[in-house]
Amino acid sequence: MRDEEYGALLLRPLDGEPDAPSKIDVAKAMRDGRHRRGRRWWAGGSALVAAVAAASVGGVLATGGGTPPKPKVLPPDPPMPGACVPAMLPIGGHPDANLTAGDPSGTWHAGVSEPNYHEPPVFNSLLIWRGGQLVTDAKAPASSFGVRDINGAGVAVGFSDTGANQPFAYRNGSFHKLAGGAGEPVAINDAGVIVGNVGPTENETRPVRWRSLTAPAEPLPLPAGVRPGEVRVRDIAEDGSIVAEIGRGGYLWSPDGTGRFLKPPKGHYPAPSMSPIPLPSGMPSVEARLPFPDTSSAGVDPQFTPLTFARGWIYGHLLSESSITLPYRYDPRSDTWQRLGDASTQADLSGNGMFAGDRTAAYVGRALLTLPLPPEAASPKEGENWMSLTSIGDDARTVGGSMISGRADPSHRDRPVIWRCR
Amino acid sequence: MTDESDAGYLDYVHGRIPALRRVAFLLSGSSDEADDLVQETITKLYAQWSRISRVEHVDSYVHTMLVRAFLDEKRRGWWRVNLRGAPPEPPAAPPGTSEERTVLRAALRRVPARQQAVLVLRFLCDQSVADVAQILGCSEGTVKSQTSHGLNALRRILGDRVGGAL
Repeated sequence: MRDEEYGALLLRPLDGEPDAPSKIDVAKAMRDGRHRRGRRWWAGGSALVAAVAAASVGGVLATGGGTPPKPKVLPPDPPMPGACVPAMLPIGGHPDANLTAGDPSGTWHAGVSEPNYHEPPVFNSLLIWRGGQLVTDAKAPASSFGVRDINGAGVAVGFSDTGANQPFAYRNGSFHKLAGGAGEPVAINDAGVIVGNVGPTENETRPVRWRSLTAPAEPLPLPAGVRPGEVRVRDIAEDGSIVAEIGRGGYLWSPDGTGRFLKPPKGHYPAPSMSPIPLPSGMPSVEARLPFPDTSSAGVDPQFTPLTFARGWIYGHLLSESSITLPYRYDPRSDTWQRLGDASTQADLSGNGMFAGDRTAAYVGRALLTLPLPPEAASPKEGENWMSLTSIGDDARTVGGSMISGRADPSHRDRPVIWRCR
Repeated sequence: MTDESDAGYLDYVHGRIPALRRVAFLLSGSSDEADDLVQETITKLYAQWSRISRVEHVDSYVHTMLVRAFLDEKRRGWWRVNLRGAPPEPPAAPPGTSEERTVLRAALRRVPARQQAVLVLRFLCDQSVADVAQILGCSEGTVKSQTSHGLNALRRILGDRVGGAL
């Protein structure tokens, strides 16, 4: 049985309607909403204070606009590899594990073993591979530990999902709890600067930067009119640029301290062709994967949701004026936008790289590199295993991911995989 | 906010409350908690209505707000647990609730909050992977991973039982 069927069958008993009359009070919501609008002034004031504090401590970040300079040369793309070979990574004595992060050089990868939820719960372990060899197998400091990123020095960042997430970093054999309270680090660059989102509640969550493992959480200045809870940091580049999602749009703090929204030019963005892409059985079709029906939103500006830096570009989703999600990348130095893939490509991105939806394929520059499945993923029934890609090296010589079992059978384990390409 | 804008808000909210309440109920498993989540969501929506009504895909945005309110409640719950120094007693099952449903809901509550949200949105609310990715502000790959991890967690808690064999 595939996970799709298993999940639907397992959770079906929970389906139903509320079993008591509604107590929702719309008039109260409007009254309270008016008060909250009134408080936005103060929220903005706090953000301004935060901005001043950040400027006085860090000295570089500030909101503001400005037209970026336009160099003549775009960031270069690596050559497309000719062939890639998959290999399962060692996972010590754990029954199963996932690879969830990789560094830009393609040398370091990090992931976690699966936790055990029986009583007493068994914490999962942080696993770090260097050049494909398991070099760290460390019991996590809390249950449900997840790894978000690892840099070229082998420093990993992650969080414990125990209700209020606690941010951690791992370096040289030790876990370090990051300052600032509940939150999650999302990325670390090779200089050791970490970015993430911190706050006691979702509505109070702010984007922050840690300049080192022991540094305080330094709030990033919010643009005018934006409140905490509306911003989620996505990544930090090697030059210190930081990109975030605000609403459905993108925002960039540049190394020089300026901040600006990432606004794709208005215009017509052709939709992907509707010719079906071959997908494993049980997967939704391309048409079904369109996030919104293409019926409304005339006059809505296109929006860009950034997800990751890669080789000088910001990769992300562009939501067109006709409500179609397209894979795009943006070069902030030259203010250049580029559509990715072919006319039939929908977008999916994650981690340190960009990957193509339901296909085992990674973007190298603007083109797709299709990766062969490992022999262990071969299955008599198509669609029972699938690959989750999470990182690609800047030189496109190493791709990291996991083989995820699509079967409702505990004997089918998740396994970390890397592809070596040449 | 103008009267015209208020009217637009009221039209929208009155038309969506039943659907929002159902999603909130499926997420939380409790009518009371569902009402709290929807109340918080429509309050926040009113505070931002002038902006959201013009430029956003409102339904998707409101679902994001609702799920964030749910995740927020999970965090608040964690603080309450820690202030009390011991885990709270699980809520009593409402009258007429089957044992199967009670066991399943208790198991779901032990899964990390985002995985709970992904499982409920995908398998009880019939949302596509792409829609859940939009609602949670993450990639489709993350949604699929969270789905797999969430189901694995439930499998480990409950054993390999499905279809009423709890």
